[in-house]
Amino acid sequence: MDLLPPKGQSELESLIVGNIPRDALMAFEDAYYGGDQKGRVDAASFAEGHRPSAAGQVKHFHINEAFYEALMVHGANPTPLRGTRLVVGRLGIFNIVRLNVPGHKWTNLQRSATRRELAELNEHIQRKYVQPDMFADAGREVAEATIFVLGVMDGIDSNGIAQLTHCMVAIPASDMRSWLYLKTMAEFMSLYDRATPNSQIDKATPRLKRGQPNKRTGNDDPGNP
Amino acid sequence: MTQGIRDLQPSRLEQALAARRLTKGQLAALVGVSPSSVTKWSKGGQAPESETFDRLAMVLNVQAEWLTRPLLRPVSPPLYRKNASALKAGLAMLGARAEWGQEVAVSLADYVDYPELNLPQRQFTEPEQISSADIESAADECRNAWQLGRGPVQDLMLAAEGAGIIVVREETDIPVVEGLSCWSDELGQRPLVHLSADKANGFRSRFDLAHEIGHLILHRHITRVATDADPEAPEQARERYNLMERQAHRFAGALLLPAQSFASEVRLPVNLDNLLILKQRWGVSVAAMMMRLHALGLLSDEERLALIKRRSARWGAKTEPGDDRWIPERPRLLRRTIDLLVQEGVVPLDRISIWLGLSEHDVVQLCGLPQSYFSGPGQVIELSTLRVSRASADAGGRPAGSRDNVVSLTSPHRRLRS
Repeated sequence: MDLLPPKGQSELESLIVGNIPRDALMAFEDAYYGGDQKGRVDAASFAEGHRPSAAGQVKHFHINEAFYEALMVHGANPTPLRGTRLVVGRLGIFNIVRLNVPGHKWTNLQRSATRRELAELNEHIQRKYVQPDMFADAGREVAEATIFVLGVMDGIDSNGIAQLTHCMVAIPASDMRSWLYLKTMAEFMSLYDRATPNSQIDKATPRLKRGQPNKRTGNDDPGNP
Repeated sequence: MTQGIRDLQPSRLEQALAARRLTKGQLAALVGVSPSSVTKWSKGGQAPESETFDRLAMVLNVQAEWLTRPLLRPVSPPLYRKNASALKAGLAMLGARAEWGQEVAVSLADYVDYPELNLPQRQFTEPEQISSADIESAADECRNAWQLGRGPVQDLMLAAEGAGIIVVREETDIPVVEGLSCWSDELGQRPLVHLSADKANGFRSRFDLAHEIGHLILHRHITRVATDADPEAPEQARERYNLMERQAHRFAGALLLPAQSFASEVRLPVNLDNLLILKQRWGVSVAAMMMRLHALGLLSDEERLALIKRRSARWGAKTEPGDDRWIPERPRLLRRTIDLLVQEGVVPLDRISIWLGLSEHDVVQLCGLPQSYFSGPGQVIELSTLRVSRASADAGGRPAGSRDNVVSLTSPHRRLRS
């Protein structure tokens, strides 16, 4: 995050807001919470020794299903549900994938080949918004990029299963060694409010009564304008 | 023998004392007369001498001539949104300020037509007649009449003023009173809302306005009785007042958070962080959303209590995260009216406060004008110019204490002077 200059950050946020509708992001967040809850309920019946592994798998499937539905509903044309494969959708220029992260420690993001490939698409974002002066093609529009919806599993429920605490919006660097952009969903949502055009009808206007005298230049009578 | 000012209106004096939160004794000390003189003036038994009269006007910070104007018909007894610790003097001050708001609006209405009144009408004569369904229906009708749809209201103040409500929002130094609403006969049965700007919280201010709109619609024909600020008020009257407050609260929730659209956005079970997201979207505090969800049956008593406890533990009772992200809505109607009159040359800028009879500061406050409206923007003076100016003044042999030596840092050209 620190890499981004303020102007670059603002422009990048406008790019995301312009490509991904607010409701879609909220739906991805809902999918995370719904899938997480279902997965934890299902995994709770496993023996304690199996529970963390079972929870990991079951939650993956439930969250993937919910995420797939959310992408589908918002016209993001998701890749099919198939085993442990990533579900990838597309809205505007952004590929959208999800990723579970424990909030309290750094995760090795490079394990998934698909994610690595998708992250490489963010090189242009990096050139355009992070270090625009260093690259000749900084002025060129970004044609394709990848955004991650992060599910931060930083809680533990009463059964000892990792629990989703919040979701974040993130854009990884092309080498997946850092985040170019990272914001909590709550913070990010406020950007949509900022961008909402003022479409409310304005009727709070006075009208001059008919037959008003012509322009005056003053009157010495203090009680009479 | 010095001639007394015969036209001093005792009721004006009383009103100005209330508006300035001054006792007669304090006024006497400031004017330099005995307390009994002020008492006599306020009873009409005696009038101040000319010089004293001017000093009186100066101390009260009003135009001297204004003290001789007959009072307008008072607004209807206001309904205050306040907590129980509000003192009578504070309420009297706000009442007087509301009267001044009415007077300004009446004076301006000599030259302009305000937006046509567009409020749903209800004929309840007792608060007990009003059901929850009635309140929901009134809020729904209000949204329809104001073409607000079912989404978040972008600017409730704009909608209210567009519907013909006169709104004044000013700092009152009485934070325990958040607002009041009343009706004005002088303005042809037009409602007035007076809001406190002391808390500078956009979310609370919106809710306060919605609450007052609720009073205006639901309680217009209900006879005002003594309120809970009066220790002598009978228990029944206090209960009645509290019921009306709860009804106005319910209306505010229904107006700002329509059942269908708001409920569909809330994730169940309700959690504070989800409400924080919705807070910025809907422009309503988490506390008010919890109240609304409880009213809609989406939050049980136990869940509500648990959330309140959690909220207090995380954020305390007074503030919530993101309180500063919603800029308080400001009234426009009176400001636009002043602008219109000045631009059209109906009233010159420098005559406005004289015409209205109040100080420039009061006009700025009551009409929501920018602080520098009458003084104009400050003018940048080059230091070299300043030195030359001083040197030439010294060369002219002016005395050191002369006012001519003072370099004015404000522009002599007032904006919008016609």
